[in-house]
Amino acid sequence: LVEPNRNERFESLFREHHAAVRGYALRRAPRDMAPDVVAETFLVAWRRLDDVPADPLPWLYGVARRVLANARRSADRGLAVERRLAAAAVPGGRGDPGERVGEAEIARAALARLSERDRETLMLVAWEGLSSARAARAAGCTRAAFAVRLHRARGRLAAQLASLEPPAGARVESQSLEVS
Amino acid sequence: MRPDPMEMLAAADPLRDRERPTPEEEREADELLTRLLATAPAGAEQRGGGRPRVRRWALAAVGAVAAALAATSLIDSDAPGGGIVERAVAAVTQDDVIYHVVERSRVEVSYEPDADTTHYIESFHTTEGHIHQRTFAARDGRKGRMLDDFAGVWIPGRRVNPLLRWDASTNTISEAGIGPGPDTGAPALDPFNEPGAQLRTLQEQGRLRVTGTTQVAGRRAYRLESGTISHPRLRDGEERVEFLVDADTYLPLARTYASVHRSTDPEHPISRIVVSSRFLVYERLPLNAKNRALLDLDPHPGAKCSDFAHELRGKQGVGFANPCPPPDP
Repeated sequence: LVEPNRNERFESLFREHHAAVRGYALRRAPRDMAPDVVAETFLVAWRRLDDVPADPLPWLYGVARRVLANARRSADRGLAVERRLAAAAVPGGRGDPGERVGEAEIARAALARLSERDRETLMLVAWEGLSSARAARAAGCTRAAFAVRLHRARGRLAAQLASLEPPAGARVESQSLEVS
Repeated sequence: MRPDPMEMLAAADPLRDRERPTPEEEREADELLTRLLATAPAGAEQRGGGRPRVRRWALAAVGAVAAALAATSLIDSDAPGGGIVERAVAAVTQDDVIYHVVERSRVEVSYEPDADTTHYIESFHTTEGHIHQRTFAARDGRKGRMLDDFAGVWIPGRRVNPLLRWDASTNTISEAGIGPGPDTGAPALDPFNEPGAQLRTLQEQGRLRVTGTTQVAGRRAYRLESGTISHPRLRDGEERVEFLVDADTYLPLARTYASVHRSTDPEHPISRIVVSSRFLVYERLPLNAKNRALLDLDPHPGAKCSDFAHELRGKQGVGFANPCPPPDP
């Protein structure tokens, strides 16, 4: 007969990881698009419950990444994240000179200038808090390959940060990334 | 000293300060979980080749229970938007190439607490698009008055029968002067037989999101031809046919439904206008073009409207705006 605890298994999976998947989507997708990504991710998980590994979060992130990519392709929203990240922090000479330069804004602006793969690599570690091994599973590559990716992405992030950091004493307008 | 780039990035996490979800977010998560558990076919993407995890008789039993539960939920559904059915739409081209789309029909209800009338609109959703149809009439090539073909529909007990849109449309067509509907007692006219008269449907199209909301992306008008229904997915020479399938099992709700656009009044010309001449019976949802073997193509046996309406009445447990004639003995 049907496996008796299938619903319970999925509910447990959902309860435990919904917030993390939602955060993953919110960090990468426009606010109105994130719920779709979350729903489709868990729909895939529900239908493929038997394929979900023992450590499901990297797997869920991998599914969400593909769902997000599909959604961007279909909705032509590929540039939305870049625009959104770029709009979140554009260091420059404008703004209230009395306001303190925000490191967070600079970091986001630097992130926005990186490639999609570099961004994903860095965000899996820095924002999703995954270890290299788990992040590698989420990214769909080997641990060694991910380590190389991370090393290179980190270097490129550092370079972007260096180029974006304003001279000492400069001030830029502080903006925050809009998330729900 | 410059901080570590990864530390800077971690500090820039836009969700860094959000430790717990808000009550609203928790409620949305609960709703999503409920919807997934209720509607997603568990194991539907189970890969072939492996040992089946579910015995066929067990699957059939579960399907029957699911169908019963779905029917019960429809009957007991008093909440707005509670009545949802799946609909498979298919077309047979002249060279017998099957072309199909799958649509979800969702009924959205707006209540007026102090009024006896409940308005509803019917939206047709597909996996890729959303079509909200309204029908209006145009004469002599002029742009006709927009008809609200759902106004005045009375839903006893605030239950929704999503299949009665043509009951309402017959009334509104009469308001536009094409012909009086059955409520007036006078015979309705066939707009296709009136010189210069046209019947068009206006479709708002957009994208159905998984959350159930719709992003509208514009509207187009299509002319309805006698015997066929225009559809944006259909090309010249293709004919639209459609019928209902169960939302959970994807099995047809009844043996044969020529069209959901059939009027409850078999004598009404709308019946003759919009009912398609051919139909398909899906044994299961056709997922791609290679599933033609799963389709059983037959000529229409001429199911009577009364049978159609009567069967729906039993399944849906809802009232009719216009009395439906009893089934033939």
